[in-house]
Amino acid sequence: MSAATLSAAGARRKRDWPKHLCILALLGIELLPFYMMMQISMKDNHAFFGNPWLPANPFHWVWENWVYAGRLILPYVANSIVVSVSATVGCLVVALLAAYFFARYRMPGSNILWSLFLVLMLLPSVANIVPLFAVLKGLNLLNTLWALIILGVAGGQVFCIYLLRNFIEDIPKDLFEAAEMDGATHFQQLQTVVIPMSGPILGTLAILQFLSSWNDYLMPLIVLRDPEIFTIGVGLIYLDGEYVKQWGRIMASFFLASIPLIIIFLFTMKLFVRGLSAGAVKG
Amino acid sequence: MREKILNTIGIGLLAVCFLIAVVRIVFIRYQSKSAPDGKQRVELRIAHWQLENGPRDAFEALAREYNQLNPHVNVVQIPIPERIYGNWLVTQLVGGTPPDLIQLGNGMTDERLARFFMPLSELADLPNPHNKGTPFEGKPLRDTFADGMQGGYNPNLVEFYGVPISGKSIRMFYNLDLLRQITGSERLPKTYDELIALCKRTREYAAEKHVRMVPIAGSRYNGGILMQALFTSQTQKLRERITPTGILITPASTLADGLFHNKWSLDSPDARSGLALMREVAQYMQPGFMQLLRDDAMLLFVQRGALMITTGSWDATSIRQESPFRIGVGAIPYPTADHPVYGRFTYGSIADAEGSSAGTVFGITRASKHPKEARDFLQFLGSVRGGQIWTDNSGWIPSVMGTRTPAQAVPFLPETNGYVAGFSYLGEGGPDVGRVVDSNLYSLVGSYGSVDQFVSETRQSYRAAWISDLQRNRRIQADILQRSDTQVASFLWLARKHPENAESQRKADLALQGADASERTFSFTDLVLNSQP
Amino acid sequence: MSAVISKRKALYEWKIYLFLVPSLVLIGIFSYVPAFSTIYHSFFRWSGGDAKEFIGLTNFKTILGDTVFWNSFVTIGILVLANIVKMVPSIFMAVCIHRLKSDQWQYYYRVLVVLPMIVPSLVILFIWKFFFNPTQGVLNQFLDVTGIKGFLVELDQIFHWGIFFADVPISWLGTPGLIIPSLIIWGFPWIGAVGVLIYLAGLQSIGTEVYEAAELDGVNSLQKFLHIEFPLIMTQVRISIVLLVIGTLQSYGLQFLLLGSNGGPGQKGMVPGLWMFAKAFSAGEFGYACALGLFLFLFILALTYINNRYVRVDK
Repeated sequence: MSAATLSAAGARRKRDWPKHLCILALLGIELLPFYMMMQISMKDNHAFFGNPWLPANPFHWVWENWVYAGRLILPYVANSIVVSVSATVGCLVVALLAAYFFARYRMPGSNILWSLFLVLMLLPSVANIVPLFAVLKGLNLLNTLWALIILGVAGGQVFCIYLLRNFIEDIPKDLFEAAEMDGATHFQQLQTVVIPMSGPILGTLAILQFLSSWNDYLMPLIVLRDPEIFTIGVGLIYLDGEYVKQWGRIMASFFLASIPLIIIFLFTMKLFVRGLSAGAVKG
Repeated sequence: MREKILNTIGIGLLAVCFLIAVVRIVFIRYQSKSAPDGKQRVELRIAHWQLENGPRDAFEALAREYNQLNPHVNVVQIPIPERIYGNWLVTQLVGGTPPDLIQLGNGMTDERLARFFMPLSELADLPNPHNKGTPFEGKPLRDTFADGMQGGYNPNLVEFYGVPISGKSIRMFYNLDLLRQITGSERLPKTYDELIALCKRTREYAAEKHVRMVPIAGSRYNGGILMQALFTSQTQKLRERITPTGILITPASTLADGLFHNKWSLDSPDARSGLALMREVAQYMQPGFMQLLRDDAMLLFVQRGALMITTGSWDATSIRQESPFRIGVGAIPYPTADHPVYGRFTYGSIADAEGSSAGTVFGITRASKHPKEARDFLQFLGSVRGGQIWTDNSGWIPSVMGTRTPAQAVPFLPETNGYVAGFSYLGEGGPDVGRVVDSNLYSLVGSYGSVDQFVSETRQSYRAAWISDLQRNRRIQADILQRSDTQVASFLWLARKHPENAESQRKADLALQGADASERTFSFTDLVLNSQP
Repeated sequence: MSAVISKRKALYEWKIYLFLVPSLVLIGIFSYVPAFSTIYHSFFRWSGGDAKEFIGLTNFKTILGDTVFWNSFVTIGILVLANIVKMVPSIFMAVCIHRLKSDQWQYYYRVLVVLPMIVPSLVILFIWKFFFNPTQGVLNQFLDVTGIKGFLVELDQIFHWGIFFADVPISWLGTPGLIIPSLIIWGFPWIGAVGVLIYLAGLQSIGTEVYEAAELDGVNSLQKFLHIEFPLIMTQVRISIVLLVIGTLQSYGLQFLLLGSNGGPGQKGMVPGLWMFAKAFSAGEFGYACALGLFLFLFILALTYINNRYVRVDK
């Protein structure tokens, strides 16, 4: 390595700190809501108004906020988990089947069927919510978690099939043929060839589907009536309607609503970041 | 490798949570179907938007008590935030999944009432089985309410649709501890002059002690209530002058007629005097209070940032529970008739209108799967026992006669000693008048504003707004008239077919009266609009 | 490409069609039925129940005279423009992260950028709503502490906006004139996790040699950005803009939760999607809402068409 490049690299390293500073400053403001959420969740209103910015003395932490939040939010979290997990798994299974159909052979009519899916990419979801409500009513699905699960499964189809088809088509044909020789049915081929090969893309899609289902609140707000089946979104909207706001309790509830995913995120961080990056490229 | 293990743990955790959650939800659904005594379990759901402190506890207590009486019936309340109540209501009604009992008012229209709710007129005439052993045993339900159940009556549809379970009134709330610190006594102001003196004293006190404090906690909501009340004191005589027959309520069309024929305007001395009152009292709230919301004013008061707040009896329990100080409650201090400036236009303090003050009305939806139980629970709510549980736990004033008002609710019982109110500055005109006045109000209450500025800015569009509101009223009244015509026809037909049935005869009479009234209302509105110069 | 298949083989393999059935049924019921139902019901007066009345083009004529709806397009136009400008911090962030020498740090920052994505979006929304709270919110306290509030009050006295007063908390969501500014300030500093990741992916193709060569030529940071980095993420930026415009046009959840279904004081926060939602679920005019939805759909379709035709992006 020549002296010139060495010094250039050295200069580059030295000049990294302004970038770090910029990034940290931006991230600092970006993450400020979380800081506020955490520190306020430990205060009562009085402590908060007296000292809005800094965390309270740990000896004066108001754990009662957390008890309240737990009683309020945990059932909603449980319901959200039911809906999001079911919707994600269902969506991927159904989409995998359909993608296999499109990717494996060019069957008669498959072009027309494919365009049936592609057209939907142009359909903005905004126009759909009103008639969708009528459809759910007709199917007797209002005020059930099933409605949210099925909508989650149906809503992710086009996107997932589109990506999965491309992916399955890239799998070498010999693998399928070898499996076919062994007398594997299509279902078995899907199990033995496609699924093991498409781990990363399935992971990516699963994360995206899970997040979109987890974050949904307009549909649940319209569909759900009974508080015992509320998902997080609806629960939080109802909490926001209180006249007298105990900010500590509210923030503790917010925090608690975020915790399940944060825990899972801690374990699967790499999968998440990679999945979202990949999803970002594809999307 | 390490990543794989971590991923597996993460996904495993999720799977475990999922299983627990599924078991839980299945269990809940199963539990709600089976009953302890073997009978088919009935779940009654009751929706309301009373998220103030109190009512939710009261419904809890009522549900518990009712469950004791009927072990197979579980009453579950669904508290809905006020701001989404309208959407929620339409969604549930149209979706066919409304709860059995719904609070009426917010987002309700005659059409929705007629289409989705059960008429309760028959129920209103029946004695309340839950009143056995009380002085009201055998009396029709409607006669056991302080307001004759008028809160649940819909004159346009000529039917009862709901049962009102509480009363309401507007009061001035004081921070007694602060009041003692400032004035040395706990005497509440009785007249307007005393109120203003107290406000001035509070100002001085805040300046002396260097505390950030305003005399009155204001917001669009709370400030509006107080200013409106004061304005109506100045239009008492004006209202009498333009209401020829001397009836107690002056309809919008009469006010409009007066306005069109220059019997009054915002320039009238009475109205200007009312506006001056509004401006004067507004100076003792936070500047810019018209931009703040109900919770903001409430918080300011509870945090000792203000000595007083004007609000309704419905906020009393919240205020009492949230304030770390003692609360005093008094009527709004109005100018007296001998007041040197404002006395000219007023008779004196305004009485709480009796009858029209009942609120928290509940109706039964047609989609209810358990109409029998829903009716019975509604009767329970309207019984002496139910009313007592309601008022004891919510701290709200009862609407059922024979209930004991808890001590903390006594200051909110209707004050009948006083005079009838005039009309408000928003005019009973309608949304357009409201909007015009509202959007110029800053020039009346703002620090740079004045009565002159407000009047000159509003004058232009005020009349046009009255006309467009009146036109809208005429349209609505025409619709009602049309509907009542069909109703009269069908009731008359029924009455003729079953002359022996007194009920159908009575209904036909009522419908005829109603149609007559609608007809009169409509033609008068029409006349006013046509004769407008 | 999928394998071409002979007629005979296709007949033999007919069972594979079954694989498509669940998917087809789902999109049939939950995408196609609603889509056609929207078109069908836009010609009716329909309040969501079984009863409906055919009224021809009346709904569309009403749309033409619906000032709230047309005003809402102005609002959404402003928001779209603002959202495009709000992409800048994400690009800046991506470039900063990318230029870091240490892969380790790049990864850590990526994790931190992704973090807000896993928190329920409503939590972030409501915390921001709390920031905007006039008496207890962080934003007003910040403006007070830093003295910016005093500056705003002085500006107000010069221009007579009647919005900012000394000693009065600023009511961000309660003052008609402040609603659009609030929606724009919303989410400051506007780092979008997905955006940052997209740009980072685009930047990935720049090798270190390019930087080193540039450095030897004495190129400054801005030039580096303009000549090396920006051209490479141009595609991503264009895709983001397209997605963003379409996404913003459809969005109304934020406005609904912050301001209620009537769009807040003076209806200043009314956007087309919210108007449609309000018409259906507040006013109960489902037929008219369908007509509004159809109109919105055609509008977005036209935009997509223009985009595909004239600003074609090569992936």
